[in-house]
Amino acid sequence: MPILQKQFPEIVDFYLPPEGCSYRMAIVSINKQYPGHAKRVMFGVWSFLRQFMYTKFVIITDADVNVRDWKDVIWAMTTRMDPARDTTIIDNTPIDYLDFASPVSGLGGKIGFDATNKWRGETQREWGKPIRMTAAVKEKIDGIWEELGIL
Amino acid sequence: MHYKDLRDFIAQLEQLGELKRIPLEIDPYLEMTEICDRTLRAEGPALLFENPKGHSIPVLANLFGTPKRVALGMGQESVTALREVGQLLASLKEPEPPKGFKDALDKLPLFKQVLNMPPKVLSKAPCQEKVLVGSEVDLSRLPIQTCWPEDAGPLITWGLVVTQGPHKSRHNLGIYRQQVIDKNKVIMRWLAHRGGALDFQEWQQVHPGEPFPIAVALGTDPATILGAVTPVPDTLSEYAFAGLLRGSRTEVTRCLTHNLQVPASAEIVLEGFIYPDETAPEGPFGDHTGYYNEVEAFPVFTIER
Repeated sequence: MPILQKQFPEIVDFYLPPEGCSYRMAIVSINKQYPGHAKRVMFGVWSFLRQFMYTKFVIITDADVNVRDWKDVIWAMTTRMDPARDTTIIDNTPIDYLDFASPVSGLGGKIGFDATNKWRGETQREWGKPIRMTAAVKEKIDGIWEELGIL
Repeated sequence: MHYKDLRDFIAQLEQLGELKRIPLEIDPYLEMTEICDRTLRAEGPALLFENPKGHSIPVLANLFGTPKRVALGMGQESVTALREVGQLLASLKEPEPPKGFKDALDKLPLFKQVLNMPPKVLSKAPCQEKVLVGSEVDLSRLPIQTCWPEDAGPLITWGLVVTQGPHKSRHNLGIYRQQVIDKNKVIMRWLAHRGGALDFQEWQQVHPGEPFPIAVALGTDPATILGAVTPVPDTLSEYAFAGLLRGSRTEVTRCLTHNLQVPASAEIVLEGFIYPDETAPEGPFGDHTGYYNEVEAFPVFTIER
């Protein structure tokens, strides 16, 4: 990750879920700086390091999403993505011959999901504002939580 | 297990360790949300806030916070039994005629259950023991939560809205959130394709310019609450479906303001009308999506009783 961050300092976290054969899917959170930024990072992941040549799924999120928690990632995908607009599909890219799902041995597709908040230019619509509890209320409940004895 | 009203369900949940009483004073403004949110994420118990700040009526929350409590509310013991409820629904939607005498006998239990479906109308009901009329109506006496910091105001989150279309004999039950805007007015936020909105639309065509009768039940037995959120076939009343879940007919009573029927054991019933052309901008409110949603105009429900 430090090597990646050297080239792309906007990358906040980078996660390869082990259940995705350790390299076939990457979830990347970024500090988004301009429209289309997620796509640049997608192509960066695919092209910068040879190790990620076989990473056939790339999901890009904003920095407020914990890429190591599926619940968070699925929330970002289902609330910040339009499937038709925000997916990038490429065919005939290098794939490891172990991947029997690719149409030809050694050659297959890649897909990128832009699950970041959409900016002016990327959308014309008023965008959703995430709900957050106030710090004062959180603090007050922290203070009485033990006394409540709920869990 | 079947429950005759919400209090019965609360008592049973408490025995099972599925409900926690909170005697501490808690503010319905934001504080309850924070406690419920933490409890829900930890798959914790239902919560009964016995001492809401500024109010004397307790607040029941996180009631259906786990699949197990949904199953219990439907009268089942386990989550897997919910599949049987689904199969029952499917067979009611497309009933198959019995194939011969033996098959007819096998289907008897199902038909016996269907007999439980029509609601039973009581002339005297607990929900009408105490009645407030006209200027006595004051929603600020109810401990209605304001859930999130940027919400437009207090919100009735789980009111069972009872409506009836002009061409239908069945009563429709739906859960639509209701923003409180006055001591006797809330905004009825139903999406255009939902049962209540369709009933209202048909009413306006048949009775142009006339007020549309509505009743809202707060705190009913669990089968009725869950019946109202289950996608039952459009021709079937949620009362009938609740009767099926419960294994006994839903007890209802006639409203004092109009002819709608409401669950007899409801803790609180709001009766009134939507007056033609009265709408108000609703929201924003923090939604189940995790975001605040946009402001949109919806009809205003005026509470008479």
